[in-house]
Amino acid sequence: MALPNQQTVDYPSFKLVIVGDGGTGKTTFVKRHLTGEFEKKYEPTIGVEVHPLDFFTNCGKIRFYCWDTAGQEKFGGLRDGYYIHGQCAIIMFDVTARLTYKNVPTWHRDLCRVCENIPIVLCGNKVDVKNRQVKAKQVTFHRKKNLQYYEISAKSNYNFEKPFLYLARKLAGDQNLHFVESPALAPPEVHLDIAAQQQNEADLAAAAAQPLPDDDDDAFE
Amino acid sequence: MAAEKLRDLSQPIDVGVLDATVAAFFVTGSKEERAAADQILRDLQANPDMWLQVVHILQNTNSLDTKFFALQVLEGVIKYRWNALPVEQRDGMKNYISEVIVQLSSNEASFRSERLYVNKLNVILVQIVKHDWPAKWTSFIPDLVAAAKTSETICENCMAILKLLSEEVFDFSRGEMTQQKIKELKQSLNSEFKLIHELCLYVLSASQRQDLIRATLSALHAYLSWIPLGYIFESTLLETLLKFFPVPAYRNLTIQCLTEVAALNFGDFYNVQYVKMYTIFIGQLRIILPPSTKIPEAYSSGSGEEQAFIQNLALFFTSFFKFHIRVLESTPEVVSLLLAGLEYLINISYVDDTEVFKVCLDYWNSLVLELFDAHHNSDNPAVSASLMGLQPFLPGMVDGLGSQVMQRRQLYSHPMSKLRGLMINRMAKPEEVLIVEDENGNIVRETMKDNDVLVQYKIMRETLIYLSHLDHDDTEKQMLRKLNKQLSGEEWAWNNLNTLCWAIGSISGSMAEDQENRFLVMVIRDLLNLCEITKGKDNKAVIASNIMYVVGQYPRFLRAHWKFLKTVVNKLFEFMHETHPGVQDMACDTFLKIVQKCKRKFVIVQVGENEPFVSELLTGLATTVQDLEPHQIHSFYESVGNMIQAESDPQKRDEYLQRLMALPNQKWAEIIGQARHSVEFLKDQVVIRTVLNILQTNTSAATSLGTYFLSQISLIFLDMLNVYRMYSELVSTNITEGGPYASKTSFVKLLRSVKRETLKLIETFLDKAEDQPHIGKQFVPPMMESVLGDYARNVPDARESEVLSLFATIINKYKATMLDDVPHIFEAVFQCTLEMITKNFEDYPEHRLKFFSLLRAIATFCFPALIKLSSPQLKLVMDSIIWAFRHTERNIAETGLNLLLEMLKNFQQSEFCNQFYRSYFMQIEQEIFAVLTDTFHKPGFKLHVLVLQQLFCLPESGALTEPLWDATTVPYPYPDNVAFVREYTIKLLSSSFPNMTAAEVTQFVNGLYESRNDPSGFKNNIRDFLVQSKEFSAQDNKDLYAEEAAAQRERERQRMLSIPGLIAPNEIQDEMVDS
Repeated sequence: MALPNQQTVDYPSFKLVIVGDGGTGKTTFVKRHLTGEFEKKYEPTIGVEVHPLDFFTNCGKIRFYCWDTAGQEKFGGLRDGYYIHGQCAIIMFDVTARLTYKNVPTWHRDLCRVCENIPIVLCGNKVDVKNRQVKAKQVTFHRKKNLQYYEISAKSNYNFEKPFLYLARKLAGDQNLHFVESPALAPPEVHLDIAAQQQNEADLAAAAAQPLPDDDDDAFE
Repeated sequence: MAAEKLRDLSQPIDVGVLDATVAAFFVTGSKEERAAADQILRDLQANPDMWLQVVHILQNTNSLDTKFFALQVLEGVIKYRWNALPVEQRDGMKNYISEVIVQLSSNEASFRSERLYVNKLNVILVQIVKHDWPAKWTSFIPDLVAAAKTSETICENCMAILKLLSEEVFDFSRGEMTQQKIKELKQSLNSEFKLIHELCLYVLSASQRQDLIRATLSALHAYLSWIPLGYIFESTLLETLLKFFPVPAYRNLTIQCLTEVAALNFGDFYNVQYVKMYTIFIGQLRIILPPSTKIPEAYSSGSGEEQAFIQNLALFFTSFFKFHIRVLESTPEVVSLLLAGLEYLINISYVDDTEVFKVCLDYWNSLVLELFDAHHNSDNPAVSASLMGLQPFLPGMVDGLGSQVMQRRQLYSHPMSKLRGLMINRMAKPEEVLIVEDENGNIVRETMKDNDVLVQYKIMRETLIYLSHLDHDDTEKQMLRKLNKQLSGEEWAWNNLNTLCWAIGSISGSMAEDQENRFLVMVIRDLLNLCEITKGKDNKAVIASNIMYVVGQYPRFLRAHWKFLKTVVNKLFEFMHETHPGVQDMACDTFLKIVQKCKRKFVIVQVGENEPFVSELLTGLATTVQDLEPHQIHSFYESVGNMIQAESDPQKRDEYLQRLMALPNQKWAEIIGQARHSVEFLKDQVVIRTVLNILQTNTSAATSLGTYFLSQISLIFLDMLNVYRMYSELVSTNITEGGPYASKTSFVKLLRSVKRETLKLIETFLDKAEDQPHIGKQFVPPMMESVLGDYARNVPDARESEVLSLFATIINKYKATMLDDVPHIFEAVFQCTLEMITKNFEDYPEHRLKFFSLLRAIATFCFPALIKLSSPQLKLVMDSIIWAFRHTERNIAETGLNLLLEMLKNFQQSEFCNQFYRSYFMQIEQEIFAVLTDTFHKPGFKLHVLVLQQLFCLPESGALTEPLWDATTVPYPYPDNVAFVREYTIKLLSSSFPNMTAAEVTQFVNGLYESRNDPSGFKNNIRDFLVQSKEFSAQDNKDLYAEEAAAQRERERQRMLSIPGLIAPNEIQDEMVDS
C-alpha cells in the first residue's frame, strides 16, 4: 500500500492518527516531541497538521507521520477522512475534564469504522494537575476493546514515550524493541533503584554495617 | 493550479482533477501540496451544492479515497438536511445507496477490495435509516433479512449493518437524536429483533463461511446487552455460542459474547442456565487451555490474538464471578469448577501486563472485601444479628449465620492464600517522584498525587489488608518466607526486594500491636542481615533504602520505641552525607515522612536525656545539611518545621525557630547590608541565586509551621518587598529595552524566579496561618505599593500572574474582612489585566485564568464591594464575565460561568435586583444561547443549562418587583415578566434559527417553562433543542410527536393533580377560587 510521504525516508514509517476532544493536549503532546517546548496557549487545530516524528530503536530508526487532527467539531475538516490509511492511533482525553473521557467511545467508533484492527493507545493527559475529574479507577473503556492505556503528562514529560513505544512494538511485531536514544529532554523519572556505580564501596559498607537497633535495644523487649 | 477549478460547481466536477487532489492530500503530495489540497477539499465539503455532484463522482472515479470523500459530503447532507429534501431526491438517494451496497457486497472480490467504501456506504445507509425508519421505511428489517438470504457475502454485510444500527441506537444516540426519536427507534428494534435473532441462529447453524460467522458473532455481541432475556436463555443461542468457543477463529468473539451474557444480572430466574453455561465453558477451556499451562509465559510469547484471548478470559471470569459467584457455591461438583476458575484467574493475574492485571485486581478487591465484611460481622454474630433486626436470643439463627460465614471462608481459604502470594509478588510502587524543569529553568522534584500507579497501590494495599485480616498468620508467614528467599539468594533482585518491602510496608496497622512489633523486628533483623551479607555499594544502597521505607511505614512502632526512632533518625543523618546517587533524596524524604508522624517525640525530653531531640538537632544543623543539595535542604527545613510546630510552649517554639533560621537569616542580613551600600550588589547572579535559595528555605519552613512562622516572616517581610520591587523594575526595564526576547534570557528568568518565590512565600504563609483573621489585614497594606502598584506599573510581559492568584487566595481565606481592600485591588489589577487579555483569546493564558478566579473570589466573599461599583464599572465586570465564558479554553469558560451564576444569585437576593436584571437579563440570555448552540462550547453545557434555569425561574421568584422590559422603548405592554421573557426568547430563537418553524420554537420555549423546576427535564428539553437546531425538520411527522407529547403531558398533569398540593394553586385554572 502506498503511504503518505513514505518516499522521503528509507526507513520504516507509519501513519499515526491522533484524535480526541478539543483542548485535551494533542498538539501540545506532538510539539513537545518535536521541539521540546510546552505550549501553554490554547489555539485549536484546524483540520489536520501532519508532523514526522523519528525514533531510534535497537532495530533502527522508525518514523511516525503524526496526523494531529482537530478535536473541535467546527474545525474538524475532513474528520474520518483523515483516518484513511491510518496504521496506528492515539486517542487522547483530559483527566481534568470528564466530558473528554465520555467522548472516547465516539472517537474509537469513528476510528474503527475506517481503520479495522490497528493498534490503538488510549492516553489520559494532564495527570500532573491537582484535582483530576476522571479518576484512574473510572478508566475502563479500553479493557473490552483491548486497547493499551497510559496516563501521561505533556507538561511533566511523564510517560511521554510510552505510547510510541507500544505502537512501535506492535507495528514491528517485536515485544523487545526499545528506544535507544531519546530526544534531548529533561530526564523523565527517578527511581530509588540506582544506576550502576561501583566505587566507594567500603564507605557505605561500613556505614550500613553499623547495626541499626542493637539486640539489647529496648525495641526488642 | 488546476485544482482551483474544482471550486466551480456550476458544471459537473472534473473527476480526474478531484482524484489528483485527493491523491495529493493522502499520498503523493509534499507538505505544501497536501495543505493546499486539504484546503480545497474542506471548502468543497462545506459548499452546500457539492452534494449534488456525489453520484457523478461515485460513478466516474476509481479511487477509493475519492469515493470516501464523496460519501462524507453526502453524510453531512443526510445528517442535517435530509428532511428538507424533496421526497423524490430522498428516495433516489436511498435506492442508489442500497443498490450500490447490494452490488458491491454480492461479489466477494469487490466486497473485499472496496471494503473501506462499503463500510462508509453502510454508515450512510444507517444514517438514512435513522431518519426514515420505522415511519417511512416500515419494511427495513424484513427487507434487510430478505436480502441477507440471497448470498453469503450480502449476508455478511447485512450483519455489519445490523451491528451499526444497534450501536447508533443504543450506544451513541444521546445528543444525536431527540429523546422521542431514540425511544421510538429502541422500541422498533426491540420489536423486530425476532427476525434478526432467527437470522443469526440460522447463519450460525447453516454456514461454514468463516467471515460470515465472525460478522454474525460480532453483530450478536452488539445486541446481547439489551435484547429481551428470553432470546438468550430460552433459545439455542447459548449452546451455539459455546459450540463455537473452542474454534480458534471464533474464540475471542465468542468469549466477548459470553462475557456480555455473564454481565447480565436480573435476579435468580436463570440460575440453572448460568450454572450450565459455566460448566460447559470450563469443560471446553480445560481442553483449549489445559490447567497446567504456564499462562504468563504463554502470554508473553503469544500473538496479539492470543494475548487478547487471555485478557478476554479475565474479563469473562471477573464478570461471571462478580454477578453469579453465589450460584457456583451450591454443590460440591460445581464448587470444584468454581475453584478451577479461580485458579485460572490467579494464573492470569501473573501475566506481565498492567491492564490485564488491573482487570483481575478490581475483581480480587471486591471478592476479598465481600469475604472480609461477612467475616468481620461474624466475629461478633450477636451484634450483626441484632443489626439485622434479629433477636440475639435466637441462638440457632446466630449459629446458622456464623457457620455459613465460616463455611464460605473455608471454601475460599486456599485461593485466598494464593492471592496473598500474588499481592506480595506484584505490589505496586507506593509513590512516584518526577524530576521536571520548571518554566524558569530550575530543576524541581514533583510528587505525583493521583495517577494510575498510585491508585493501583491503594487498591492492592486495601486488598492485602483485608487478606491479612482474614488470616494474619498466613500473611506473616508468606512475607517472611519471601524475605528468606532474598537472604538465600534464591529470589534476590532489586525489584523483588522493592516489591516485597512495599508489601510489608502496606499492611502497617492491620495487625495487633504486639504481633506487629514481633513481625517488624524480624523483618528489620533479616533486612539488616541481608545488607551485611550482600556485596556491592549499589546493592547496599537499595537495601538501606528499603529498610528506611519499611521503618517509615510503621510510625506506631517508632513512637513506642524512642531509642530505635533516634537510631533511625541518626542513621538518616549519616545517609545525608552519602553522595551515592539517590541516597540523600531517600534520606530526606524518609526523614520528612517520619517527622510528620512522630513530631511530638522530638520536642519532649526523653528519659535519660538532657534536652529534646530538636534542640540537639539544631545545634548540629550546619554539619548535618552541609552535603545536601538546595532542594534537599528545603525538605530538611520543612521536616524540622514540623517538629517545632509540635512544641506547645510559645517561647521555646520561637527560640527553636530562631535557631533553625539563623543560617539563612545571617546570609539575608549580609545581602541586605551590602545592598544598602550599593544596589548593584543585588544584580549579581550569584547573589540572586542565594536570595532565591533563602526564600525557598523560608517557604519550606512556612509550609509546616503555619501561623507559628509569623515572627520569622515579620523579620524579613519589608526587606523582601523592597527586593521584590527592585527586581521587578529590573525585569520591566530589561523587557522594555530588550524586546520580547529579553524575557527569555537566563538573567530575567532568574529575577522572575525570585519574584515568584516571594509571592509564593507570602501565599503559603497567609494560606497556612489559622485562626488569625487579623493577619490578612496586617499583611495586605504593605503590599499595596510594592506588589499591586508594581504590577500596574510594569510592562505586561513583566507582570506575574501569581499576583492575581495571591490576592485570590487572600480573599478566599480571609473573606469579608478584606472588603475594604477590594477597591484598591480592583484599581490596581482590573483595567491593566483586561487590556492584556481582551485582544484575543490566547495571550497570557495564566493571567486569564487567575484574573477570573480572583473575580470569582471577590464575588463570592466580598459581594458588597461589587454593589458599590459605579454602573460603568459594573458594566465592565459583566462584560469581562461574558468575555470569560466566550473562551473556548474550558477552564476559563467554566470559571466565567460559575462566576456568572454566583452573580445572578447574589443580585437576585440584593436590593438591586430590578436594576441589575433590567440591565443585563436580555444580554445574558442572548449570550448564553449563543455559546450553548456553538459546538466549541459543548463542555460548558451543564453550566449553560443552570444559567438558563436561573433566568427562567427568576420572573416568578418574587425578587423582581418591576418590569424587565423598558416601558419607554417597548410600546407593547406585557402582562408580566413571565410573558415578556417567553416572548423575548421566542423572538430571539426564531431569528437565530430560521431552519426551525415558529411552532417548534414556541413548543421548545413552552417546554422550558413547564420544566423549569425539574432540572433533568429542563436539561433534556435543551438537549433536544440542540439536535433540532442543527437539522432541518421534517414537515410531515413532527405533528404526530407533538400530539403524542401533549397527551403525555396531560397524563402527567392529571397524575400531579391527583396528588394534593403538587401543583401550586396559581397554576390550577379553576373558576371557584373565592366562592
